[in-house]
Amino acid sequence: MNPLEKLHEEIDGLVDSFTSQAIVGDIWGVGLTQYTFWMFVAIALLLIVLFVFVKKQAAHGLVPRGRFVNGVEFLVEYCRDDLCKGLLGDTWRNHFPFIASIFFFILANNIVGIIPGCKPGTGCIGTAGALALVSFVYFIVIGVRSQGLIGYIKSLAPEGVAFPMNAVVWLIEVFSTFLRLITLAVRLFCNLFAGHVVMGAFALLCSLFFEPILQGITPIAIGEAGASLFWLAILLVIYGVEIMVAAIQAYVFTLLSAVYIQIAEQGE
Amino acid sequence: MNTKKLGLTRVVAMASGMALVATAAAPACAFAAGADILVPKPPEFIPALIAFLVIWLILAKMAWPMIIKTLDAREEKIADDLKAAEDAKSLAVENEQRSRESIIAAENEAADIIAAAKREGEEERSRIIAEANASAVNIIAKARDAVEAERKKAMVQLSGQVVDLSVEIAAKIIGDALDNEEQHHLAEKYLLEVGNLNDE
Amino acid sequence: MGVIGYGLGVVGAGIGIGLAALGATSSIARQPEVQGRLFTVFILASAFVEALALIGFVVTLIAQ
Repeated sequence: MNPLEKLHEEIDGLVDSFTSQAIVGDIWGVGLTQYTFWMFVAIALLLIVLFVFVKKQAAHGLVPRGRFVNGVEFLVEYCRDDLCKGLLGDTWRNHFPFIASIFFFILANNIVGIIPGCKPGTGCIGTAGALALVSFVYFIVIGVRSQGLIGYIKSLAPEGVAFPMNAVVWLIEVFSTFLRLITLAVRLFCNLFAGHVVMGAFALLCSLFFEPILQGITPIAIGEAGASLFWLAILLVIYGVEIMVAAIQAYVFTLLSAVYIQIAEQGE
Repeated sequence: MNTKKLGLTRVVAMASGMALVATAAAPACAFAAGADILVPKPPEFIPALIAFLVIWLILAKMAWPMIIKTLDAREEKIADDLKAAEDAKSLAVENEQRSRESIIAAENEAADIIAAAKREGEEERSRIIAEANASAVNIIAKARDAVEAERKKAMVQLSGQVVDLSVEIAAKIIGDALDNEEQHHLAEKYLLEVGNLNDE
Repeated sequence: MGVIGYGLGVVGAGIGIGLAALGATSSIARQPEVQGRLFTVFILASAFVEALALIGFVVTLIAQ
């Protein structure tokens, strides 16, 4: 069938368009890729939204009025109550700026990616890796600060277990701690990257199946146009799922960061 | 928070330097064709790192403290207002209790006063009536005595007059045969008889 | 072959998310008033399982 013959190369083209390409400069040296560009767009949007919010909140006093202030406040309070107070207990004020910054940064990047034509800034492993690296270093520094370097390294071994088992479990724990860096980055990156590739693939199928009807109206073309509508319906469903995934992935990343900070502080 | 941020930034810069070296060494290793996807590329990694650290700094200095302060102030105000309302309510309940008690006491006192007044009124009334009765009895007794005295005086007067009158009649009937003494003695004897009859 | 491998991986993800949904629906049936909190936990668990399936997807793209 005509549409499916062209599918393979089109999908290859799609995946190629999603991999990082340098707009300016060189991909391995100094340059600017399309993801970094969209990340800067998302950062600008985030700063504008937050500073308008702060100004409006200062103007209105203690009672929030208007949908914008209430909406942003809902997010901030959700971040504070669910992520910080619920997990971190007494020290939540120290960690709240970091947790809230991570949450809003990833949320802004993901939401910008949902707009048709824009890419999410976190859709490349560079950005996701940078965020995961900051989170990883942060919670290790918190662990070292609260228990001392040797104490933190020792705390990775469980108590009450005899010597040989102790060491084996310690080794596994060290490995899994370093694995947290990789899983955080890869989870965020894969969800955004693959989600958009799948959306692009269904859009591609929709348009490929629609092409025959532009060339001539035959029964097969009409059948294929019907299939095109089917792909469109699935595309809309996946679009909705992607919107949810944008928020959920921001939440999961921040939640896991908070959990790691809590584990590092209490010395489990 | 400041020193923590600076120390953290230093550590993160070190770690990112190491990551940069690792990624610079990446193309030298042999990877599968498409594994390029999973390797962080410097033009993305470093701007992302720096951008996030800058954003973190800006928000932690300028945005979050004010937002958290406003949210805290609001919570505090709500808690204070609630507490003030609670206090006012308990005060009001106390006041109501006290006022109700004093009303009950006042009612009791009023009932007592009324009962005492009634009782005294009753006593006064009966006293006045008794006095009036007594004085009435007195007056009647006095009147009777006066009437008795008057009757006796009248009787004496009457008897004198009867004596004189009977002497005159007898003198007229009998003729002037008797003289005054015998007439008197006769008249007194008849008067005594009449008086005995009267007294009976 | 890569695609078959990815298909097998997705079977695991499907079973995982199905189990999460089973836990969520039976818990909501037992105690409907905690529905909000349970829905959040369900979405969280699904996100973790989904991540593994998507890692498989990306590895398929890599291996081509």
